[in-house]
This record gives sequence, structure tokens and C-alpha cells, in this order.
Amino acid sequence: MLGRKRILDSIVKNGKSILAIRYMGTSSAAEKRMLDRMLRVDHAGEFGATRIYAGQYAALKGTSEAALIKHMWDQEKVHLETFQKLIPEYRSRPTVLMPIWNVAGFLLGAGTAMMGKEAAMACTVAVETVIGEHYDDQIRKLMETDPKKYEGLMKTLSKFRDEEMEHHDTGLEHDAEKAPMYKVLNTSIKAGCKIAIWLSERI
Amino acid sequence: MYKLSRQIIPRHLRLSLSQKRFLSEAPDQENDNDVRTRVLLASLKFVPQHGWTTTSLAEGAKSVGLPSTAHGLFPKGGIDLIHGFYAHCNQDLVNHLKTEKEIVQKNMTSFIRDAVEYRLRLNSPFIGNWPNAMAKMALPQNAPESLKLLAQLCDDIWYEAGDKSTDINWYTKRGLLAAVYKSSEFYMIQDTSEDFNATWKFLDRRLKDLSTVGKFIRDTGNMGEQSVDNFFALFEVFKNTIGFNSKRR
Repeated sequence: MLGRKRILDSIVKNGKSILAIRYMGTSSAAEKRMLDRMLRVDHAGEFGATRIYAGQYAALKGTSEAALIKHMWDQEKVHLETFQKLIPEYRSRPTVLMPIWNVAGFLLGAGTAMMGKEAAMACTVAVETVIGEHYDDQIRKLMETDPKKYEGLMKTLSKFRDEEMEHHDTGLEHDAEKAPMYKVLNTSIKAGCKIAIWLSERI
Repeated sequence: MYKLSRQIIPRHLRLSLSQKRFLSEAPDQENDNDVRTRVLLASLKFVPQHGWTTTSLAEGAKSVGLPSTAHGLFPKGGIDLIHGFYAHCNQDLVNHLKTEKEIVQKNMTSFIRDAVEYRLRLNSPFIGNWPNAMAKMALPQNAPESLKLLAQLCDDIWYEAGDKSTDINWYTKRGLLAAVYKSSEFYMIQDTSEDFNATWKFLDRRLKDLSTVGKFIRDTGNMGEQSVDNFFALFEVFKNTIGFNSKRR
């Protein structure tokens, strides 16, 4: 057992600490907060994306679009795995809303896919537009902060951004604009994504 | 140094102009945080005698050669002393876990168990004053900072244990650990057994409960996948009911 006196002594001896470490932090405390938010929202976004594709795949299984959706789904899974590694690494945390995005993503994917494959593609186009813009914003922010330090992260993000834009273009090639009520779908899904981003950054 | 720390130090802990002037005249040019830490650690020796009070802080300041008014570095008085001690012990635990990890390999449960025991033992020199500290930390004006420190403690333990969860389990794990820690802490302040043996047994029982909960969560987790099939089956039934069956259309 650690004696009372020994603990006291060790506390006093090791004394360079707490307030110094906890409150002072470093100049990068604001940066840490920024990264924390970024990784959380990206993780949530990629998780949502895998759920959307899971929904589309479940609804369109056996059609000619299935293979294409499976391909995009697999790419999103790789993105998600990357953020699953980055979150503990940077000591960020996942959003509290994970269970909600789980259900909401799947329902959005399955719901639009049940309206037809064009609507599924319209959903993809809307989602990927917002995600692409969002990645661009983050890359710009990292560039402003410290391009050297975050070179690796910026590379990862821009690779993902390019793949998301590919999905966007694929959607357009596969008649997304022929979906029923394309404009309405597009606008409302985009708005939903932006709300989801806003929430996931914060809680 | 001061400029850097300015944004990060909570407003109530920032130095006033006169304090800064006093510090800049201090012989060894310590920065304000070092002084604060020094006073804090010295004050702990007076806690058994004076409790978590400004008196302890003043005595502590005197004992390291500062004027007793240096307790003004802790404008909230006793609670700043408690929170400072808590944060200090959290850091001590992290250092301990980091070195321990290199020496022995443990499974996750015993790693967490030992971490909790180590952390609780850090409170033991002040066990007579700890009920008072717990009560003060629970006051509404102090609770947010206290909860932050508890959350930090649980996050540190799970992080050092190598937890990689990135779903809602991130929260359940930390929440459950916080409950185990807090209840063991309550048990400990009433424990009169030799070397707090009863507390460690209590801790073991709580952790055993947890593994049961964990199993339950894992088992129910699969329900999600099954419900997907049910959902599509229901949709088919719905389509058939309204005569929208694709084969006969």
C-alpha cells in the first residue's frame, strides 16, 4: 500500500503539472478544437454515407444499378475506416447522434431508392455535392492554419473529396436529373445534410 | 508566455495586473502557472488541518515563501484547491498508466480495475476531508468543472486502455466507468476496513456487473440488422395490399 506520506511526497515532488498542463495547454489548443470538430463531422458524414448506400443497395439489390452502388459503398467504407482510426489518434470523439444517423441514413437511401433508381442517383448527387463542398472548406482551413503540419491530413481529405465528386458525376451520368421532383429532392436533401453537418460538429 | 496562455486559462484564474507585476519581480521569473502549482501542492499539506479552505491556501503560500495573500491566485478559494488537486491526480494517473503499460501486459478489465484503484488511492491521504470535497464539487456552481474533470478521468483511462470505439459505445463506456468510479468513491469514504479492502471488493463487484451489461448490449446490437429485413418485408406486404405488386401490374 502506498503510505499516506509517500503519496503526499510524490504529489509534491512531481509537482510540475496540472494547472500548467491542463489550463495552459499549448498554442495549439484552438487548433485541437478545430481538428476535433473536423474529424467528428467527417466521421459522422462518412458513416451516414455508408448507411445511405446500404439503404440504396438493400432496395435495389438485383437490379442493374446494384454493382455500381456496391462499388461506391465500398469506397465510403474505406473512408469511414480511415476516420475510425483518426478519431482515437487525435483524441476526438464520435458525435452523440451516431444512432440517429444510422437510421436516418439508411431510411434516406432506401426511401429514395424505392422511388426508383433515378431518385437514388439524385440523392447521391445532392449528398455528394454538400460533402464535396464541405471537404473543400476543411482543406482550405487546414491550409490557412499550417499546411506543412497537416500535409498528410490534407492529402487524405482531398483524395476523399475527389472520390466523392466521382460519385456525384456518376449520379449525374445515371439520369439523376430525370428523377421525379428532382429540384425538390435535391434542395431538401442538401438542406438536411447541412443541418446534419452543423449538428455533428457541435454534439 | 503570458500571451499564449491567455486564451486557455479560465477567466477566473487569470492574473490581474498587480499579480503579474508581482510575478515579474519574483527572483526566479517563474511563470504564473508554476507559481500556482507550487502554492497548490504546498497547500495540500494543510488540508488535513484546515480543510479545503482559503486558510490552507494562505498557509501553503506562506510555506513556499510567498505572502499569504497569494491565495488570491485561487479566486474561488477552496473549490479551486479541490479541482486543482483532482486535475493533478488525473495527470498522475495518466503518467502512471503510460509507464505501467510498458512494463506489464494486462487484459482490459484488470487494466481498468487497477487504474480505478490507483486513482482512488491518490485520494486516500485526504480521506478524512474527502466527503467535504465531494460535497463542494457537487454544488451547482462547481458541478460543471467537476463533471469535466470526471469525464476527463474516464476518457484518460479508456484511452490508455487502448479503446478504439467510434460509435455510441464511446459514450456508454465512459459513462459506465464514471458511474463505477463515482460509486466506489462514495463507498470508499465510508470504508473503515484495513487498506480499504472492502472498497476494492465493491469495485470488483461493480465491474462484474458491467461485463453483464456489456454482453447484453452486444447481444441486442444484432437486432438492427434483422430489422432491415423486416422493414422490406413490411414494404412488400404494403405494396401487395394496395395492389401495387410489380409482377401483376
